Amino acid sequence: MHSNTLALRLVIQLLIVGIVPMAVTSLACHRWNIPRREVHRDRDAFNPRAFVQELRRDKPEWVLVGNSMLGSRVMDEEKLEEAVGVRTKVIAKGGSQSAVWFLIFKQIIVESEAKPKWVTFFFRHTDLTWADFRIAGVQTDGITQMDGTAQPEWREVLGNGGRSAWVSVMESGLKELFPSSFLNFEMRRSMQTWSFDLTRLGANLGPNKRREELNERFRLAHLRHDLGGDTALAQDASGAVHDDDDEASYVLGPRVFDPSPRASFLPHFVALAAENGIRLHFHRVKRRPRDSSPTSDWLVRYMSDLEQWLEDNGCVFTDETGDPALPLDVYADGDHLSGDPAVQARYRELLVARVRHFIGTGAPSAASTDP
Amino acid sequence: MVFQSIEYLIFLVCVLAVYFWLPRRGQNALLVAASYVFYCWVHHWYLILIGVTTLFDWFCARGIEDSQTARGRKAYFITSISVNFAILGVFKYFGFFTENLTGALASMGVMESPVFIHIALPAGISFFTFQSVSYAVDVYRGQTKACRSLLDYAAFVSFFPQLVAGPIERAHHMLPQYARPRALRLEGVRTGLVLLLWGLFQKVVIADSAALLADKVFSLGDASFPMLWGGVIAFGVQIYADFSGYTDMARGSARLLGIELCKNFDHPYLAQSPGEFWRRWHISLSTWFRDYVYIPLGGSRAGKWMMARNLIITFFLSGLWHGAAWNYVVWGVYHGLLVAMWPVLAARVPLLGDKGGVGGVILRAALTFVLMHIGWLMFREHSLTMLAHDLTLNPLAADAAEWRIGAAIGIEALLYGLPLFVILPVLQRLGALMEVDDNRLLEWRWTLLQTGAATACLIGITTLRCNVGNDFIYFQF
Repeated sequence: MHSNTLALRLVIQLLIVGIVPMAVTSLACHRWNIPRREVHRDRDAFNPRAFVQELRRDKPEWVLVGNSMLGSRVMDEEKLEEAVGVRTKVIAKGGSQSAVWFLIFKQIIVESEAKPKWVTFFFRHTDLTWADFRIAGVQTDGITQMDGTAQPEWREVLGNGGRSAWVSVMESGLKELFPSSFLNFEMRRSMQTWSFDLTRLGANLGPNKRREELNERFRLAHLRHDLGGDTALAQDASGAVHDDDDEASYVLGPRVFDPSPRASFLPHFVALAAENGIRLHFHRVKRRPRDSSPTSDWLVRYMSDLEQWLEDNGCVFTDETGDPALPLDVYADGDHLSGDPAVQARYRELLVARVRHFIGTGAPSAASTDP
Repeated sequence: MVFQSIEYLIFLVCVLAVYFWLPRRGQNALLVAASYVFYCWVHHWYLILIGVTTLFDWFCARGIEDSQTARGRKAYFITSISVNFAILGVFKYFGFFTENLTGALASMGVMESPVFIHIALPAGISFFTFQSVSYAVDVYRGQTKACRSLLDYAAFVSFFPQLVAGPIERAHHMLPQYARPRALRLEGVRTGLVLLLWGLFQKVVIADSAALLADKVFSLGDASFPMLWGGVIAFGVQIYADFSGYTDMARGSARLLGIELCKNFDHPYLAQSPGEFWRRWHISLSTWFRDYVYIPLGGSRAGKWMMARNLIITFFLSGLWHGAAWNYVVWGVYHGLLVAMWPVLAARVPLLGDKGGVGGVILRAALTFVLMHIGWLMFREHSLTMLAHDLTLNPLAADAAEWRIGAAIGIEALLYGLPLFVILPVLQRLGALMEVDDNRLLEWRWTLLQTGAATACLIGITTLRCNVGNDFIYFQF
């Protein structure tokens, strides 16, 4: 057979392979009345553009950035503003880590030209120098919205492995060709339902009851004690919860403080802040009190090196980890603080006491641990 | 760069667009350049690592072959091996060794506290180091001629489809392929695409879905017996689909480029003994350890006890190859014991040998499946304390709800793994769909079957893919 005929046959095959799945997904969506396209929903209501506009409008003097460690500790922005006496803005993005915080700092705070006097980052454990922690999964949208992978600092720290704009465009194109997110959801749910049907074991529970049972079994109280409070987010983001018998969810993170600009975003925070006349404050939160086992030696050394480096670079470091005023009963789940108004008010007092001597005074000291 | 990304798709298309227009040397130069781009996509310093080791091993192999004296040959050989293992040792084992040594000294009061050293592990270092070592050994043994062309050798070491997670290729299989020009073969393109799509299906549908289930279970602090083993089954599905998927995508990509890589899996969960499992699982690594560790140690030549010793040493090293952690060592020794003890038990229990007809086959396969999954628990559970706890869980202590949930987790993982475990082995011919046979090029039946298989994979990927992606497990080794 002529090679052109064979090539033609190959092209036809490729077309079939490409077209049939499109047709099948469309037919399946039609058959089961499933929407073909998902209307974009921002699940955690994170909208960088809106934040930029708010910052431009409100011109806060103090901006706090973090994940649910911040979100669960400062639930009422206005009350904090009243307590501290300066215009305050809280930007808490659930599950975010240092890479996303850097983007928030650069693409929202600096971009807004609001020029707050102070920006505070709430962090836990070795978050500040674990550059590639939680940059996938549910964080991808936020990173794309803030044009993360195009930033030179991103490339310096994380290399070219991030997604560039043109890749996102191609990905969107493919999603347009194979519009099946709802179908995908339904099919995967069916797989779970089949597994429920095959494992009734005498009980007559419907799929919804089984899902409730499953969710109940995997709620935070059942997770390994040493997993982070927002483990569920970590799992969504990376698909993997890393565990060990010591400082579990951080087992893959850094154990030595490395201040080089290729190792983490921390030096880039400092450089960008200096360029824009913004002072930085890093606040280490207290994790849920556990047994009496001592803090690992490496972590003590890491924190000491971090504090020294921040001090040398004109930042303020505060640390609530040894605070006896934060006992176990102020925690909700994991490392999250309770939303109880009394707990929130108490935490607010403690936070304001920690920052009062530099926030709003205009004469901050170079570095400070607890007052 | 990972296979299951748009970046890789674009990268591969770009390489293919130029590749077949080039003469042989140009093709190899393009492969080396593309491989270095692929490997250094995230960390540019990897270029120094792979460049230096390639140059060094190429030079040493020539030295081995050109030396006039046995002493000279040996000196080049030992230098090559030492440098390769030293690099691997520093990047992969130095932190582990230091932590354990200083931990022991601290517990004896010699040191104040253990020292933790964190060294970033370059992706694929275990794979290309083993490939380079096998080349040096083969040249030293006279089984392979030293490659005179640095370009060809660099292509052999760095070939991007198999650079990061294998298969660990041998010089005698790969170098002749680089020594001749590659022409576009339609059958290669067709079967290569089927392999690529099938590999992608295994990764994004089966492995990632099973990973979600396994990770949930292994995040529990109070997993009961049925929950734990449901999670272990999910992990068994995950690791097989993950690694097999990677290998198939590697083989598919290579085939599109006119290079044939070796098979790395042969339905391992159908094995009827631990030994057979290792002849079907990660075949390129198993044969590496067989040829370069087990046989040089004496193999089975010096009696049963020596054979058992050699097996345990080989599997201990294999465990350590997988990761610098005690759970991998335990896992390796466990497999060594299984492989060593099985023939002894089979001599006493005929059903473990080859008796019992179909019933015997099912029994042996089921027993092997269970034993392998006990191994996977050791592999997945990084904490030895938790491992000890897991292995002593009492099945009778779990209530009905625990059994329901545990069974649902295991069954859901197996449902995702159905194409891998049942459909593929039953339709053995589908396996043949992925092998090159130019004689079938003109047959409509094969054309339709291949088109059907590729279409089914793409429909599966579109409708069942897991939206939470993971890196390939074997990238960390």
